[in-house]
Parts: sequence; structure tokens; C-alpha cells
Amino acid sequence: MRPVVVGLLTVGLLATTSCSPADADGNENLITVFVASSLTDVIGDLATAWEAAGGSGLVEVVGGSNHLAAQLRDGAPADVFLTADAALLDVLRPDRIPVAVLGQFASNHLVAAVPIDDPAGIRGPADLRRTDTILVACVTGVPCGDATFQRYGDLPIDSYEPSVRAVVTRLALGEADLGIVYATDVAAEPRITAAWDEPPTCPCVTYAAAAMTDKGTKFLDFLETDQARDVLATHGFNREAAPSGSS
Amino acid sequence: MSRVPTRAPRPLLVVAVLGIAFLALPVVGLLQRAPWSSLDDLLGRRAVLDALRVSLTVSAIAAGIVVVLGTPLAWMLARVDIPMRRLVRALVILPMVLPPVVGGTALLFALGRRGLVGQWLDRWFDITLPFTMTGAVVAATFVALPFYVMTVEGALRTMGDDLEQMAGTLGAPPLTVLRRITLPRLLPAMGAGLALAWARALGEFGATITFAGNLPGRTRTLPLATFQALESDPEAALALSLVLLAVSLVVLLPTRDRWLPTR
Amino acid sequence: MNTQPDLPTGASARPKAVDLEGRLVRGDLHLELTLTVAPGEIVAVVGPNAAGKTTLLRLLAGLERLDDGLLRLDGFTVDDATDPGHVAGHDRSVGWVPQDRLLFPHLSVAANVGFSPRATTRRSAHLLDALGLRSIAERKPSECSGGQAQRVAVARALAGSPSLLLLDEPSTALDAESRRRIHGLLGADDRPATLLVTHDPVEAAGIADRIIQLEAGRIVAASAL
Repeated sequence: MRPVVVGLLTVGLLATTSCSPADADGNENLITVFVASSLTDVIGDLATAWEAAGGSGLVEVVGGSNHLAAQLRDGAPADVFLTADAALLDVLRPDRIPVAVLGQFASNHLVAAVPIDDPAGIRGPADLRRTDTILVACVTGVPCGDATFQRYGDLPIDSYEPSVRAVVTRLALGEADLGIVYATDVAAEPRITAAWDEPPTCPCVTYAAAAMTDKGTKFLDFLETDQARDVLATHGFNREAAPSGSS
Repeated sequence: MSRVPTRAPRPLLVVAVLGIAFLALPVVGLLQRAPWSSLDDLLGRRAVLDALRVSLTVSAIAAGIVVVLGTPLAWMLARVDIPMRRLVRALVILPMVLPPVVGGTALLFALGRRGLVGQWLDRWFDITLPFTMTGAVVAATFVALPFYVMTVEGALRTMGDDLEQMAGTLGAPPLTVLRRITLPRLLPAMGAGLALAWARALGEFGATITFAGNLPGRTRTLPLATFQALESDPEAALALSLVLLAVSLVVLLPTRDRWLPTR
Repeated sequence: MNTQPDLPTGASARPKAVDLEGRLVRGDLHLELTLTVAPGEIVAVVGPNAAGKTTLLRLLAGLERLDDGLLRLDGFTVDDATDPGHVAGHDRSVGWVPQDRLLFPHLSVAANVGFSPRATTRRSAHLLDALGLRSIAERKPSECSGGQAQRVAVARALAGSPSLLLLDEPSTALDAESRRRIHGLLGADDRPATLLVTHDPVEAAGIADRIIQLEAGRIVAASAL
């Protein structure tokens, strides 16, 4: 019995050590990308395009931008940080300074959305002030929440969700009548739809990419290519081209 | 009457002390980083007071419901020969092992506006649970109930029903037996179970934010406020954590260290 | 469902004779019982350990159910192995004093004695005095000696004026004073029909009017003394 146990433990240990995600001195073939949650739907296709263009395997870690920034500051290993709020990159200093920064590689504007069956009969922006409907939005402090507040000011919000995905889920499940989400979410989620027609306006959310290691800079270069831009456009992101540069 | 204490084997003590250190370390870290000088100002803030009020209200109501629902349930599990008892007990423990967010999602599917039962609540009675303090109470009750039931059921099993049988032969009807024999002896265990359940309800986060949502003054409890404050205002987060720690200690410290009756 | 009328509780009546009758099968116990115990009469049930003496008492008290057979108390069928509904212990007007007494630890001696809904204040007070418990009336059972606890248990059982008193090894490990008092009480005029289990044949001979001998779950002898 003893040798079996020892053997299992050894195998287990080896397995865990060899399966760890890439860090600076780990398996060189993987890059770790911290991804803002509003990029959840597009990162998969970006990863496919990246690998098709010759890139290495991509490990994605999705979360609220603030959360990810906090983790990075505390030393979490990552090669690239895709953030919905460029100001968060300042949070990383002085502990972690990006090797390179690509500002504004994409942008996303806010859209008021309703569940596909529109239970509350939302017609226009005035309905945002209604108190008989359940209105949800991102909590201030996360990029979409700040953008919401910037755009609309104080609203009779019934729940401040920790991420835009949570807002989307509430709407998709029909638990809320109206919510402020991104244009990309409306494109990606069939159970919700835009509450009313309006042209995209800013203040909107612009995404920045920061390479935290040298390996990561290759991904930044990729983001400026046509393939990447096509992928982003397909998902509903507006492209804002900006030259890459160091911070 | 004191007896000579058992001599504990040294290795056991060492490991036990390590265990204590492991549990105490985060608390020490919290206390050490706390902004003691600006505490007054931080604690007086509207956001903190609101969160405290919501937490106390929600957890107190949840604790009350837990006792009312949990005592008969514990009694049934311990004393009545029910079919599929194992299944029932597994159901009772389930909220303990489910990740709270999963619990909250499940509650949403059951009691949300479009939920299995929730849709009828909405349609017939115009009752909505998500985004209300009642919803927060539901979430807290859901996660706290198992702690109470397990404690009280354990005590009932240990107590045995000999005394209840004796009371029966003396002519006391079942309710009198419950009132005069079972409940008085069960009180310490009920208290301990209540303290555990209350503390759990206080600390509840995942199910609350998923089911009840997050709104200051209505559903934003201390844990939710702390989570939110962590990124934008770490000092406030520390202050909130201290408040939560203090309230939890007040609830837990009075618990007797022995709540099983001896004979 | 048992639809027979309630047995008389005897709360204010004088003790009466009790008819015990039936074929009792429970575990290793197999016996035919036809026994009338007069008020005040003491029938000792003797035998070695595991002879079934305690089981017999528990069956009579309604704490255990027959595996097979029938038990009738004063003509009423109180336990029928073929009928799931039966009169519960508390309807039988039986006073049961188990070997481990089972005093209520959170109640005082006085509260224990007066616990039964059938007990009157007068009777409880009388028993407290008769068994010398007045001085410890406010104490908890944990503060009583073995002898005192036994007296409390007997007083508690008698307070409800049962028609049948069941005593399981009442004098085992008792001090002389307590033994004397209990035997004294059992010699009183208004005591009910009593079944007393003991492994001590000397005690049985000293106090009982009749003896039933059990061995391996069967009656092997019965005699009057």
C-alpha cells in the first residue's frame, strides 16, 4: 500500500508542476493574458487568429478590470493585460511597470438594453428614470460603471452589478427590465436587444493593452494587424487605431 | 470540582498551535493594516452605516427564520423515522457545500421573476424577491440553515429520547413533553446553532449578490460593500472589514464551549 | 386504530386490582401471562441477567412493542402485534421506575415528583414527606445521592396514582435508609398493584407476596409466599 501512495503522490506532484500556466521562466509556448470581462466573447476568436498568425498558445484570465489590476499589482504573473480602463495602468506603478502599452486598440460604447421580450415596454431614454421598472447597471468603480455614470448621471438603479456580464445575465434571464451594457454584449447575447435606436456615442469605453513581459509585446503587435481588427469589428467593437508606444 | 488535566502528546499540541496560527494570521494582518487614526471618520460614513444597518437587519431576520424552520427540521431528522432520511439530510447539507454563487443562481432560477415558483409569486401576488431586502434575507437563510439544523440534530441525537419516553409514561402528552423536557435541555445547542447560523448569514456574499443584487441601503450588506470598496477605496474596505469582524465576534464569543447536555 | 375508551386513570379512585393477560413475544421473551395483582400486592419477578425481566416491564409500560402476541390490561387490549395502532404508554396509568431512574436533570426534586399531569399537589406533597424528600425538594437530581434519587423516582411514579407500579431493581446499590424508606412506602395502605423486578431473592422473599421466576425469557416458576 505504501509504495502505491508514494507513487501516486509523486505522479500528482509532477503533474501539477508541469501543468502550471506560463510565467516568465515557465513553458515558453504559452502567454497569459488578463482580459477585461467585457472582452470575454472576443478573446476566444482573437486567440484563434493569434495562433493562426503563428502565435503561441494563449491562456486567458477574465475578470473585472479593477480586480485584474489589483492582482497584477500584487504580483500575479501575466504577459498581457487588456483593460477597459487605461487609467488602471497607473495603478500598477511603481510595483509593476508595463514593458509596452497600446492605447485605445478598440472601443465600446454603452447601450441601454432590454430582455428580448421587453417586459416593461421600454420606448426611449425617458424610461431610464422610471421607478416602476427594475434597472441594473455596473457598479461605479469598474469601467462600465464609471462610463454609465459619466453618460447618464444618477439613475434609479436597483442593483449595482460587479461586472457588465452580471448585468447582461440579469437581462438575459429576464430578472431585470432595463440595463446599461456594451454594444458588443447586445451583439453577442441573443436574449437581449437594444432598448432604442441611437447612434454610438461617447463617453464610451476604450481598451488599452499593456505588455507586462517581453513575450507579451508580440501580442500587442498582433492587435494592430488587420486580422485582429477584423475580429474586433465582427464582435461589434469600434476600432480606434493608435500607434503603440512605451508607457 | 477540578480534575488533573489530561497530558497531551507534544506533537498534537504543536500541530494544534499551527492550526491556531493559520487561523489567526489573516485576522492579525487585518488589524495591523487597519487605519486606526482615520477610523472615526471612516466609520461615520454613510456607506458604512448603511451597510451595517442592512447586514444587521438581514442577518437578524434570517437567524430568526432559521430557528423557526430549523428546529422542527432537526427534530424530524433526529427523532422521526422518515423515508429517505439520507436524502433529506443531504438536501439539508447542500447549501453548505454549494459555492454560494451557485446557491444564489439556483435561488434565482427558483424564486426569481422568471423562476419556477417566483413567476407565480410575481404574477399572482406581485411579490418580487430579487433586488429587495427580503431577497437578501432569503439568500442568507438559505446558506445559514444547515449550520443550525446540523448542530441541533446532533444534540438531539446525543441527548437520546429516554427522558421523553419517561415523561410519556408519566402521562404527559407529546407537546408537553416537547415543552417541558426536550426544549429546555436543547436550549444550549439551539443557542450555539443560532450563533453559527447568524455568523454565516452575516458573512454571506455570493448568494446575496447573485440573488438579491447590490443596492446601498437595501441589499448592500457589509460583505458586499467590502468587496466593492476593495478596488476603489481600500481604506474603507479595511474599515468595513473591521466592523464585520467586530460584529461576528460579538455574535460568536458568547457561545458556550459545551452545548451538549451531560447526564 | 384503537377505538376503545380510555383506561381509568385512578386519579382520585382507590387503587384497584389489575389484570394482566396475554401472550408476550419480544426478542428472547416468550411467555403466557395470566396474572391478577391486587391493590397493594407486590409480585416479584426474579431471575438472572438477561432473563427478560426488564423487557417485561417495558412491555407493560408501553415503551416496547410486541413482536408477536397480545397484551391485555384490565380487559383492554393495549398491545396487539397485528394491529399497528395501540394505546400509548401514557394512557395505561402505569408508574414506571427504571433501573437508571431517568430523573429530569433540569428540574428540581419537587418538580420531578409533581411532573405527571395526573399528580395532584396534595399527593406530591404527601409523597415528598413520606419518602423524606422535603429537605432536598429544591435540589437538582445531580445533587442527590443514589438513594435519594431512587426515592425521587418512586415518588414521581406514585404521584400520578397509577393502577400499576413497575419497579426495576429498586434497591440495588442503595443505602440502608433509602431501602428502608422505599420498602416502608411499599408497605403503605394506598399503594397500587406492584410488579417488582429484582435479582436478589432475599429481597424478593422479604417484601413480595408472590414470586414469578423468569429464565431465558420464559416463566419457569410462579408461587405465592
